[in-house]
Amino acid sequence: MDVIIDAIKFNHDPNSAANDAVNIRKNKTQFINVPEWVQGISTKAEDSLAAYAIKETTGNTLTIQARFHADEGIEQAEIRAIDPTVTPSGCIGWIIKILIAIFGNVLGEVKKKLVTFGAGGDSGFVTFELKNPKLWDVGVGIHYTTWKWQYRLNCHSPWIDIDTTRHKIYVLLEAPKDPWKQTPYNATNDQLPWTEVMDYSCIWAIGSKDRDTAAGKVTERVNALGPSIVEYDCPGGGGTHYSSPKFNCTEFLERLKGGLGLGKYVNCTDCATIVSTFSNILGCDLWQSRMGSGFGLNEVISIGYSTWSTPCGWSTFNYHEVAWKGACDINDEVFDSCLKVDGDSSPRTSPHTPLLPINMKFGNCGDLLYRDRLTSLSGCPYCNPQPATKQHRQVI
Amino acid sequence: MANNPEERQYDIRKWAEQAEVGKHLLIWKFFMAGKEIPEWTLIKALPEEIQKDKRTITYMWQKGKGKGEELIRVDIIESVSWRRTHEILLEQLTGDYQAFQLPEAASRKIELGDVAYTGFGETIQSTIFARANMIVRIHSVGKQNISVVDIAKQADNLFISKPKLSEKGVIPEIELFSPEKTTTKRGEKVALNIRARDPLDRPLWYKFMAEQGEFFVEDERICFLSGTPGQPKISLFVINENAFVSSATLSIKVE
Repeated sequence: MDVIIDAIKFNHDPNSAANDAVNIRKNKTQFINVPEWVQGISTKAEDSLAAYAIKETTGNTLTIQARFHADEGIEQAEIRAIDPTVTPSGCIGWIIKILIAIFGNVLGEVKKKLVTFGAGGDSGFVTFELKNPKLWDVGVGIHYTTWKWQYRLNCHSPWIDIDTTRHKIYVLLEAPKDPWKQTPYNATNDQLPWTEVMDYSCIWAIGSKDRDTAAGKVTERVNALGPSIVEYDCPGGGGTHYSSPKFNCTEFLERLKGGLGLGKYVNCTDCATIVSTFSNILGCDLWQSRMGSGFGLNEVISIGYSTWSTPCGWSTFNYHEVAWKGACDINDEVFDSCLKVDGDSSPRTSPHTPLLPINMKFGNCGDLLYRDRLTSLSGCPYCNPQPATKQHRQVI
Repeated sequence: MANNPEERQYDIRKWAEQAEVGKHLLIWKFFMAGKEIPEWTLIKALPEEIQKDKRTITYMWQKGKGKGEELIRVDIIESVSWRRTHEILLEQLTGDYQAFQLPEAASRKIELGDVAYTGFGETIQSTIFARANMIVRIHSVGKQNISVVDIAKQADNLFISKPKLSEKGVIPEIELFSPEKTTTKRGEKVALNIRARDPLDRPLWYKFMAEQGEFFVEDERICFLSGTPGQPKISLFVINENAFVSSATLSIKVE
């Protein structure tokens, strides 16, 4: 007599992310079907992907659904799943404990439940509560959950192993924001959040517990892609390469993975789009928005470069674009991965102190905020926020 | 500084004056299939992006076997007329480039397109030009920084040259090429009836050339219009992915 686990649903309610996982897909072309784990198909953790939003689930009981088959003669059984991870003692044990803290199980265990088997021994999908999840303590990240499923026929019987299942779990701050969509939830909606983007965002912003920290870490990591992965497009005049008019996220991901993508060059529009799109999948709420137009510049360090100069030696920018909060106006903060400004008290004169603009208020001329740090004294009045340009470019 | 950067930076009226070749030319349903740039390999063609009155296709070409050593990106935007193309070019230059103004190709003694600009630096690694209803943007984006001038000229030549007709091979068949009416008035458009097919049902692209007048696309139909009386000859070239060409001509009396 035996019990078999057939399938597990993490995102069992696509209309809500309060008790279960959010709606996701893998990339532009690949949808993630629910149940995410299927017997005989899902072998590695990467075959069973789910993402949870901290904000939406906080204070709620997390649930999954699972389906079982029992041999003839079994009408009911208690079923549970435990975390089989064992930590050895000694130095290795400590290292493993650290790794578990960073990447280990955040879903806890599956609370035991009495399951009834119907015709043909099929249980149908049964809702289980999760016990001791750590989702809300860890911040943004990628975690691996292993569950050893067990059953017993009555409370006096020993637990019998059913199977071991493995799952890759993304932890997001909130449900993803535009351009990522949660509806409509179907395979044709390629704006559902992509796990291939989360693979980068969740590592770049690992441990972040609020939007500003997460967006700041993403901004740092995007800037650090230069010069090996990307470089400011000086030879081409600062042209847009990945984000006009839509964000070619597929090609950018290929570049991140070591492929050619659309080549090495980026400009401010690309950087703003990458930062906001990769942050917003974590639940941040950044726009891509412009300032301008035709304004003189201070010396900066452009992405992929290591020396101070006006960008490419040009004295002016036609426009500039950044990831921007709120109304994308004077009193709103920017995240600019495209260039480092002088962060000291005299940004228009040497020596310069490199500062990546992270959560820096745009400001008025004379406020010694982002605007003063980017523009020359004569250029500052011409560098005005253009909130009408704010957008979330669609991902393709 | 003025507050209207478009007027400040680029002169679209001047572009119209210098588009003498492109005005009498229209390219339709253009695509690259791999033979257009000798010695280079087409490694990627992105799905076309269709917007209201333009379609854009991005191609990545690589030279040699090195992974991305010599790599160029070619963006081709096909619009509905040379006039609309100039407007799109202006939008591109002012909306997609952070540089305040790109250098004119002519200032660097490069003959290219009806209107052409280059990037910066001694080696010209980037250019954007308009020819007829087409915009071509070429960037060297690989590890090696290479000049794109010759490649840009080859691309331009695809549009302006009168292709040599193919005598062998599987050539396109032009089943219909006629005007809606054979006589028209100055400034009055005439739609052209066109039907062509590849014997192997592969895609085709079309090139229309006239001695005078201009072409535009309206409701998916090619239209011709002339402001000068006469009987201009209109040539059609139909090209398949192997660059095999068929041709036909017609004439319209313009009163």
